Amino acid sequence: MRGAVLLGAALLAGCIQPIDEAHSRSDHASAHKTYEGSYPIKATATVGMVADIVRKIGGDRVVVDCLMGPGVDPHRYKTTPGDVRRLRDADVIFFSGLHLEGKMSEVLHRLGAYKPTLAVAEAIDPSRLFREEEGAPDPHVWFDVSLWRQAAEGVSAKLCEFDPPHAAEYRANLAAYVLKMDELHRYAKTTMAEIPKERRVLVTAHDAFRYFGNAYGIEVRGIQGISTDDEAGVKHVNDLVSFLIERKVKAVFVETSVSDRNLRAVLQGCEARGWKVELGPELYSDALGDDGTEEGTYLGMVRHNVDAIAKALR
Amino acid sequence: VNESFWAFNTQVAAAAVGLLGAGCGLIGVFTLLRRRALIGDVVAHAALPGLCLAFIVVGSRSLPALLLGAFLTGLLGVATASLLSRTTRLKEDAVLGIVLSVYFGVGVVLDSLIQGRFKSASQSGLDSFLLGKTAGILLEDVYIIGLGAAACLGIVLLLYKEWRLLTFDPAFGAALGFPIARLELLLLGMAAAMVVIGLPAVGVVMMAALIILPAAAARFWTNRLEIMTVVSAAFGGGVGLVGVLASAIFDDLPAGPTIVLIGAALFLVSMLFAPERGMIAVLRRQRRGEWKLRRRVLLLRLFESVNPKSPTDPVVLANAPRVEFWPLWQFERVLAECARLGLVTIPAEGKVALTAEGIADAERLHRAERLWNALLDERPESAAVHAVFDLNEWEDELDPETRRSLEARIAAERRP
Repeated sequence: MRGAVLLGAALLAGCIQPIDEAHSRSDHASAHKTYEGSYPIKATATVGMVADIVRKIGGDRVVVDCLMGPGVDPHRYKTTPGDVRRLRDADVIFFSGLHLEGKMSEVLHRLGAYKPTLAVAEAIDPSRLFREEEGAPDPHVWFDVSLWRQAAEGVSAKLCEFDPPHAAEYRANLAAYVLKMDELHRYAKTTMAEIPKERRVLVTAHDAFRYFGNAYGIEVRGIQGISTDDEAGVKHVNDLVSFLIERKVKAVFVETSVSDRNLRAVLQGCEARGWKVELGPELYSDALGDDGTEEGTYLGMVRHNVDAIAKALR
Repeated sequence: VNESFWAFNTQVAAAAVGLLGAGCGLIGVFTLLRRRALIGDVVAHAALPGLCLAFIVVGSRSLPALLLGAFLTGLLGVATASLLSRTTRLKEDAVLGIVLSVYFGVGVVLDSLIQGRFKSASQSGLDSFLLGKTAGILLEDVYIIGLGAAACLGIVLLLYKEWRLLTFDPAFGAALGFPIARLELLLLGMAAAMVVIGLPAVGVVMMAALIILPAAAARFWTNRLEIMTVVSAAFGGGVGLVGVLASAIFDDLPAGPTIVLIGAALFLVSMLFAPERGMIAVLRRQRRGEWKLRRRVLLLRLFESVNPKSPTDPVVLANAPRVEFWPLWQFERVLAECARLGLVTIPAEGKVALTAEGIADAERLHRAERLWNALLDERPESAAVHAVFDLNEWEDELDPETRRSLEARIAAERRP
């Protein structure tokens, strides 16, 4: 695995080196200059959540290429030479940041030196981020729609700065989109509130739903840590079994981009102690659903999660 | 001990990894002694492309299909290795290195291809085979692993005599008419099966340790194959159990690495402290041998320097031979030990005398030394055979005829 990552990083380094040098004297001029080419602007995004908001705000002016498709786990994603080409060909790059794109993060940040690049989650007010004790923020910010709204505003600002002639269009798109986001935010709040308070517990394969829990008032537990790279200890599984039984939780949730092995072990543990827990419907955590479906958009994906959780726990 | 210790998932994981360790320990004995210890590593790495291919073909995360794919490419990797080492001039280490990394590389490439093209790729947990998910072991896994371990035990019991031959003298076994090639294939097949079965639990990287460590640790405790087999299986099972229980008791202790670390600790303890074959025992034996040799050298040199007519007369210590550049402290210690054993006395400060016992010892050694030198002169080619034996006893190994001729030679030397 490491080998592939290193290879990818080496390829990428090889590609960007000459450009990097050429522009180092002009104070990374290209990273800040405005767009002069033909339309539509070619944007490359890493994950679906980012690609979708860029599409919504860019409208017809921007065509978005998304590196990680449905069901792909960004924490463990391995950069391929094809990705390098797609990043190189982009006019502007959007990624989530906060170390969500685990193995790709470093190269993405380095690309920022000579290409217009935005880590959208890093445009969010830092005081609203959850931090681990070591200080690394939890990257799964899109589950609090009011936070992802800030990311959308960041995308709009970046596009306005990059392509000033069409700034009015981007601002109008943003305004329309933000209305839908606010509506979804309210919907999620009221729907979660309908679940009886003591059963309002969300158990998933990895710790992706802390922002969701905080924004919509539901307690959150994951088997693996914030990154899917963490391996769970046996004690952690046992603790979770005890917790589920104690709180009489009726369902746990599989994520579309994470293996469900650990969750199934937890279910067997509950069953052995006489408490039947159901495997709830699939949730979208770090990736969107298939293109062309409702879950293939950011708003549709959040709505799906909210409805699925409410239905299984009510 | 807390409640996590007795929880259902702890029992499942402990049973699974304990059985896995015991089975691997059994098989590991034969692969280790047959000098195929790295086979586990080759299979584990070569299994990765099989996992990916099976996923591409089946298109889902059915565990039996994935394991079958892993088993097939694992065996293919082993076959490639044996083909390469038989048909080329490459040595085993180079061959294994090539096979291991090439297959693993193919696996990584396939894994990268899959991640973009198949929707359920991340969910399939192909990545989790690299390090394993011990905490996520299910009841079904226990049955599979138990079956594998039982098969190992059955085959070892049934074919013990045959595998013993395969391990120690395959050429002799072939001469007796045993199908050695097929027996070896069966051994490698069983090893591959155990590795593949264990992949979901402990992963590619650590699987090799589970095959090698118990057998390698058991090797220090015994020279007998039966005992080593039992000890290795017990070690493997114990390591798995303790690793899982540790992960159940302490927070944030992933089971896979813990198991390997416990195995390594067991190996280290065995290597250092095992009686007879342990490092400390071997070193102590060596040092004892060195001091014994020094005592003899001192005795011999004293014997040569005393008055032959009354050998028990004291010699002035200053005139006593300081042998072979020994430092003073060593000389004094050797002297003190000889005195303690009653071979010499120290009648007065600065004097030393041989006792009757010391003289008898020295005479015997003297004769042995002369016999040895005669043998070196007369039949240097046969000296190597005797060199491994103690200088005290080597002459008993001589056949009577050689002995007579050597004694005649010594007698002839003495005359002039």
